This record gives sequence, structure tokens and C-alpha cells, in this order.
Amino acid sequence: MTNIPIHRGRVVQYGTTAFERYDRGKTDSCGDTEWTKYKGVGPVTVRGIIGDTLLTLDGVYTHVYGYRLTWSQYVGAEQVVLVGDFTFLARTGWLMYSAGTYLLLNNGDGELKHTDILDLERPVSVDLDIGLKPSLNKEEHIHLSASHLSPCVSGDLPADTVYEEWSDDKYSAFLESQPKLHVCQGAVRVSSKEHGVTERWLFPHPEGARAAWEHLQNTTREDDWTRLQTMLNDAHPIEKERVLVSFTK
Amino acid sequence: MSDSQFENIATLLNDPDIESVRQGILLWETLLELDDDKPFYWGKLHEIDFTDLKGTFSYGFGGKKVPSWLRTAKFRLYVSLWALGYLAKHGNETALSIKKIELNDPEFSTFPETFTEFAGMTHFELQRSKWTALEDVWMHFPNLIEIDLFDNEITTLPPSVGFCTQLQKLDLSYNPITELPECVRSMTSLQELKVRNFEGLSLPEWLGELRELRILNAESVNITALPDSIGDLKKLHTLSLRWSNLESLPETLGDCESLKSMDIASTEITTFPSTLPVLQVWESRLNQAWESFQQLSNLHTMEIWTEDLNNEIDFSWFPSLKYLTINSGDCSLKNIEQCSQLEKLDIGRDQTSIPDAICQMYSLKELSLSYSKITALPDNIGQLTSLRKIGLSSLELSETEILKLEALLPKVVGTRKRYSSSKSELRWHLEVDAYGNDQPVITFRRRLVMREFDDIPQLREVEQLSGYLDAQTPCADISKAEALLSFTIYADEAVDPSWLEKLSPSPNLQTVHFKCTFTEFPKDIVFRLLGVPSLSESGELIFPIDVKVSKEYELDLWNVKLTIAKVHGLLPTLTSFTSKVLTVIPELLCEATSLCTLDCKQTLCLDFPETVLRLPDLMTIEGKGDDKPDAWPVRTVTFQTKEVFFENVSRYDNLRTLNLKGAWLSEIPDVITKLKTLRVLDLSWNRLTELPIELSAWSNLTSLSLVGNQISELPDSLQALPKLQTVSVPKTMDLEPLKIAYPTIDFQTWSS
Repeated sequence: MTNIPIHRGRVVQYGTTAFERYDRGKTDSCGDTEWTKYKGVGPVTVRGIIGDTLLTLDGVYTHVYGYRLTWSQYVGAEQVVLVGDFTFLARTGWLMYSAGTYLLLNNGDGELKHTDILDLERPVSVDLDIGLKPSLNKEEHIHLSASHLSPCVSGDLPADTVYEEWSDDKYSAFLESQPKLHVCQGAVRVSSKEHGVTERWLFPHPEGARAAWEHLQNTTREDDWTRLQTMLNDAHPIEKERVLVSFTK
Repeated sequence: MSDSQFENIATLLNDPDIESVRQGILLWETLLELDDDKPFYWGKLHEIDFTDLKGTFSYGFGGKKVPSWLRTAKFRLYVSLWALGYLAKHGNETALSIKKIELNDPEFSTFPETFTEFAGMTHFELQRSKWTALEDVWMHFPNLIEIDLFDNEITTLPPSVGFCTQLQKLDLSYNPITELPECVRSMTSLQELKVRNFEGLSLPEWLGELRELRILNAESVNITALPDSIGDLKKLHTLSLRWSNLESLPETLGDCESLKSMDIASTEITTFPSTLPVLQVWESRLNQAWESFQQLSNLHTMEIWTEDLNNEIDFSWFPSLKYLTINSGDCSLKNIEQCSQLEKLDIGRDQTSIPDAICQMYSLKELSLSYSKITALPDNIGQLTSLRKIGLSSLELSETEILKLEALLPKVVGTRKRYSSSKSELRWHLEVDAYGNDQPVITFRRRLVMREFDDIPQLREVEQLSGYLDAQTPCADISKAEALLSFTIYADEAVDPSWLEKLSPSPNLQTVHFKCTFTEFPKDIVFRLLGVPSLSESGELIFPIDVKVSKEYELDLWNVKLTIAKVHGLLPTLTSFTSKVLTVIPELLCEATSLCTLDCKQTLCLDFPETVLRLPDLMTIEGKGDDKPDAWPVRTVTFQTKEVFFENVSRYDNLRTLNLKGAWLSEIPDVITKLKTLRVLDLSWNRLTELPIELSAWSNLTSLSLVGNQISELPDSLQALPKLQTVSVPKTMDLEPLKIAYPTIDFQTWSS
């Protein structure tokens, strides 16, 4: 029997097909080369507790190494993070182009393409600030390290898998490690200057993340508050505190 | 028809095979020529957004600039470049204005057909590709100034590159080129040639025909000799031969009369031609070449960067030397005084002394001793009257040693600006670069400025000036320095106000900064400096001259400022007061009877005088710390602090602004409804379903927010509140009936 941790009934499964991309960049005036090396794995699947596929991505960069002239190295990484009932691609690192958290807008059963998430028009993602600050791990791929924020597995799920929901302590520790993340059960507080969204709440929608995002755009903060009031009694104490704190602003 | 036809074209353009893409382009081009469908296909062409190119088409072109039907195509850059060329062919101004094309590891390996339309191109760059050849199209680019082909697989240049006779820069580095292409010979304007990692065995004799060449970089090349014709390159100033297989240098190198830099590190050279004008050596190879080294009587520039010399250098061998950098252990600098033309001397980190004889080198303009181990300067260094710059950074020199330069320090040669945006300051004849121990020089000059203010004419022109005061050096009368904007006063001992008697503002003075302490705060002087105050748009006190003091005198300064404001009758009209450093509220502030905003974040809330807290219009206040006096007029209460607040609220008889947002209230406690002093009450984001009927105690209330509650009706008693002006209501309430029922109140809803 193999216990696999899950959060709100979900786990991130990283495939074992490794790939690399090498961006050779430009040569500077000193003749040095600026380059970035991306190492990734795929596919990445978000699975539910009955093993069902909730979302699939063709791959993510789990280890990024860059070099600028002779003095500034940097590392970065991406990971798939489960927040509330939503799935985000978190891209972080020094000088990383388009670092941020991207809400993944799953459409039907199709596989999402990583390039489409980061595309300027973002057909399958929305760049949203949710206060999440993933840490980096220079030494290894992020999905193999303790730096990965959500429950995840690498490779196939064992045949004797038993899913085990995060304990209260585990969830509390996760929230405390992310002091600016405001979650209330399945809902997540989001902000985005680009989309003119400040201190709003993204609620789970039966038709998926895209519908949830559209619902947010068609409602107001007062609607959020009305709905949150009905959820606070059953919320985790830290969640409740953060919801109320967000409405003192 | 056009739509479906273009769908086929788009499919071809998105194909991963370049031949299919070319077919797609050919089809598109054909349809662009047909009268019937011209507008449609031109429209498609214009869907690629070239509007912001600013003369450069770069490999970064993409994203939103490329329409969705092309965005994910493997060869989108190729198609875009073709489209841009097609526009150029048809006279499009943006396309015709392309000066620079930059390609970096492109997916394609030949140019699109319309590439030749960029006739105005001056710079072309192709880097890090697998291209093995360039097409022979360069006769179309007569204006090219630069071709950069760094790091490709190109084996030679097509003949037509020779038509680029205006070319000034050519970089062929890191290509498997075995022979410098003949076409380079006709580039008679070439100024910079880079052939790093060149695989050929020699450079051609015709190299000397490139008479305009200034820079030749042949690092890591296989050649063992330079052509004799190199002496014909009279303008050559930088020659890099590092890591080449060179074994000797031609005598003709001495004819390169502009040569300033020649890097021959890691070569096989063991003898030098006696005519050599420049020598830069980074390694012990000099030992093997010692005999020929001694014969270099024409050397004007020498850089030695090796600690492994077996013999002592005698500088009498080099009578022509003008520029010397010697980083070779603790060098004796034997007979250095015989280098009578020496203008620049730069010594190394392990140098412990310099001979007194350098004081006879009257040509010396620049002496860099920085980061060496020198602890004393020659006694007569003040004789070096030509010296314009001396480097003393990080040296452990006493003040006495540094002031051996005293004779050279006073001379002023004009004014200067460090950066174009900075203020002009004095320019001294001797620039002392002495990071870490420049204080004696700076203090000497600041004191000099105060003592000889009237005798330094350039002081009339400077915008920024610093002075140093002591008992013998009182402050100068700066009032005639017409250009002066900023004046800073330094002193090591406490300044007596009598030293400042002559200090009066000059006509354009904006800032006086006292970086000193005082025996007694110079109230009268500061009073005189500050000038006549006025109020800013935000109601803050402003003075013509900004006087700055250290934190310990901030209260004294504000006492003077408020006194002036009182004298001019401004104190009662002051509406805003801000200080980022005050730890005590000035007493006179209690006379600012119109004060609305008070922001003193460094003053403890408990230390705010009650007389100030009770100023009648004070509505916004910031202080330091969570503990607040009972008279504090503004309070924010959260769901965590509300219980304690409700217990104590009866003591808060000066409470004017109460913020109860997100306090998780389902009803308004009685204690709140009895608050008579309230003016602003924010109850947003609670669970209230109604307001109490009895609200008469809120007779001073001007603003009430109920956003995010479930209130559907407002009590009639609201109408009776005489000062109530604004009410923000939940969006579920209809504003129109409210406006009719309460005509004196401005109703609003939340907007986000």
C-alpha cells in the first residue's frame, strides 16, 4: 500500500519524458554569451482521487539555469500548484522572463501546451497575482524536491496507491509558509493590474476555471463578500482570518 | 472564396517544412497581384504588425505582432521577414526605413526572396546559426556599414560582399574560414576587422591595403606570422593577437604610428622587432625575449603584468616611453627619471615604494598608485606641477602623507558636471582619486573655499558647493554666488552660531544642508535663510530655501519654521503637516487650528500632545506604535481587536474616524451608536442587516459606509443627522428612491 498525499482531492503527476531547450541568446560587447538552459519534464497531469485526469500539460520547465556575462548566474523553475480548487503554473526565478502565477484554463479534455500558457495572448492562462511565493531549488528539478508546494508524484502512480488528504497540520504549514496567499476552501483571492482586478475572489465553477474567471469578471467584490460569508463558518481558521483581513483594506 | 483560399495558404505557412512555406508564400504573392482579391490579401499582409520596428527587424519579432494564423508557425520569422521585404518592394515607408536586420540562430538557412528589397540596410547580423554559406545578394546593399557573422558555419563570403565598399565593421569570428576572402580586399572603408578563431594559416599580404583599418582582432588564430604590409596600416590603434600561434612580429610593425594597444598574450613570440612602439606582456615570456626587450628604444607604451621576471628592468633603455603600467612585484623602477617624456605611470598591487626621483619627471600628468602597498609619498611630489590626476585609492596613507600634495591642491581650473544631470561644481587642476582616504584632500579644499571665497572667480559659476568650518574658518559670504543652488556645510567640531554670521542666501539658492553639529542651534541664521513661507496645494508649509539638518536638530528647525509661519499669519491656515523624522511634535502646532492631516510616523502616538489631537479639523493622523492615547481621533478596529475596543470605547471622547471594515459584525453595538464625536464611520464588509433606529448621537457624522452588508432599508433617523453628507450603500439598494427620500445626502455604491 503506497500512500500518496492529495490536496482537496488532487495530486500533480509529473511524467518522466525529459526535454531540454537551450537558448543561446546574444553575444555581448565583451564577446561573452548570454544563454539560458531549460530542463523540463512532461506530460504533467493533475489527477483526482479516482485517478481521473483533471488537466494535462505537455510539459513544464522544472530547472532553469542561466548565465549573464561573468557575474550573474541565476536559476529558476516552474511548478504546477494546486490552490483552492484551481491549478496554477508558478514560474519563478531570478531575471526569469514572464515570472508569475498563471491560472490554467482547462478546456475540455485537450492537452494544454506549455508555450500557449506563456504566449503573450495567453489563450489558455491568465496571469494573476495570488500572493504565492514558491522557493527555488538550485540543485535539482523542482518536482523532485521539497520546494514543490503541492502534493506531487514523479512517474507512474503505484498500483497499490491509497490517496491521503493533507492533514490539518500539513495544510496549516502550507498556508503559514505562504503568508500572502488567501484561500477559502476552493476559492482564491486574486489581483491583476493588467486585468483591472484588485482584491477579488475566484470561486470554483462547475464548468471549470475559464468559466470561474469569466464569472469573476461579471461580478463585483460585494458579490464575493456575500458568497464568502456563507463559506467562512466551515473554513480553516487561517483561511477565515485571511478572508477577514483582506476585507479590512 | 478569399477566406478559404487563405486558409490553404495559412496551412502551408504553418508547415514545419520550409519548402511548403515557400509554396505558401508563392501562392500568396500570386494572389496579391490579382486585381480581384488584392485588398483581401493586402489586408492579411498588414495583419503582421510592423508599426513599432524603429528601423530594426530582430529575431525577437513575434508575440502579438504576429497574427494568430501565423503565431505558432515554425517559420513565422521567415514569413514575417518576407512580408516586410514585400512591403518594401511596394514602397511601404516602415519597410523601407529598415536599417538593421538581426538574426540569431534562425530556423531557416536562406533568405526569403524579398530580402534584397532592404536597400537601405546599414547593419546585418547573423549569429550562432548553422548556415554554411551566404547567398550572393550583397550587391543590393550598397549602404551596409556593418556585417556581423559571429559563430556560424560559414566557410567563405560570396563575391558580392565586395560591393559593400562602405563597410566599416566586419566580424567573421568563429566561422570555419580558412582564408580571408578576397572580397574583403575591396572594403577600403573597413575600420574594424574581427577574425577570431580564424582557421587559416596566414593573413594575406594585401591586408595592408585596408588603409582605414583601426582595429584588428585576430585572437586564437593559427597564423605564425603577420604580413609585412601591416606597417601600411597607419591608423591601426588596436591589435589583438592573443592565443595566436605567432612566433615573431614584423619589423614593419614600427610603422603603425597610431598603435596604442597590442595584445600578444599566450603567443610563441620570443623576439621583438626593435621598432616596436607598444608592448603589453602578461606572462613570463619576457624572460625569453629579454635581449630584444632591452633594444626597444622606440617604445612609447609599455604594460608589464608578470611577477616572474628574472632580471631587473632598467628604464633607461626606454627613453621614448610615455605610458607605463608596471605590475611586476615590487619593482625598483630603476632609472625611471630617464624616461623624461613619461606622461602616465600606473604601478601594481605589490609595489611598496616609489623613488623620490619621480619628482623630477615634470611631464608626468597621471600617477596611479591605487591599491598598491605604498605607505609614503615622495617628499617633493608637490613639484610635479603637470600632474593632473593621482590615484591613491585604498592606500594606507596618513593625513600628513596625503597633504604632501598640498602645493598642488589649491589650483582651480574651471567648473564641471559629473553627469549631465548633476549640478556644476569646482574643477580642480589636480584630480585626486583616493577612495577610502580622500577626506584630508576634501577637507583641505572645503576649508580653502571658505577662506578664499572672494579670490576664486569660478565660485560665481558653480551650482553646488561645500564648505568646511572651524574656529579659524568661519562661513564665507556666499550671497554673491549667483549660480549657486546647493550649499553644504561640514565641520568636525560643533559649529558656533557666530561662525555663520556671514551666511546669507545667494539669489538662486535652493538648499542649505548643515552636515554638522552646533554648540547652540543657530535660530536667527536659519530664520534668515528660510525666507518667506507659503502653503502648498496640499496645505503644507513651504519655504523658498530648503534647510536640512541632522535628525537631532529637526525639532529646532521646525520650531523656527512654525515661528516664521506664525509671524506671517500662516499658522492658523496650515492644513497638513508631515515629518518623516520628528520624534516630538512641535509645541506651536497646537496653534494650527485648521490642521486636517498630521503625519509623523516617527513620533510615538502616546507622545502626541492632547492639544494637537483635539484640533477641531484633524481627521487623518499617523504616528508610531500601536498604543494610542484615549484622545486619538482615528481608529481602525478588526475582527480580532473589536472586543477590546468595545470595552474601552467610552473613554474615546475625541474619536472622529472609526474604521470597522471586515470586523465580522452582525449588528452595531450600542456603544457605537452613542459615539457623539464620530464624523466618519466605515462599516463596510460586515454582516449587518439593518441600522439602529436611534442614531441621534451621530450628530457630527459626515460620512457613512455600509458597502458589503445586507442592509435593504435605511432608518428615517438618518435624515435627522444634520452634517451627514455621504453614504455608501450596498449595491443591492436602489439609489434613486434614496436620493428622493434623503435629498441632502450623496448616496454612492462601491465601484471596483
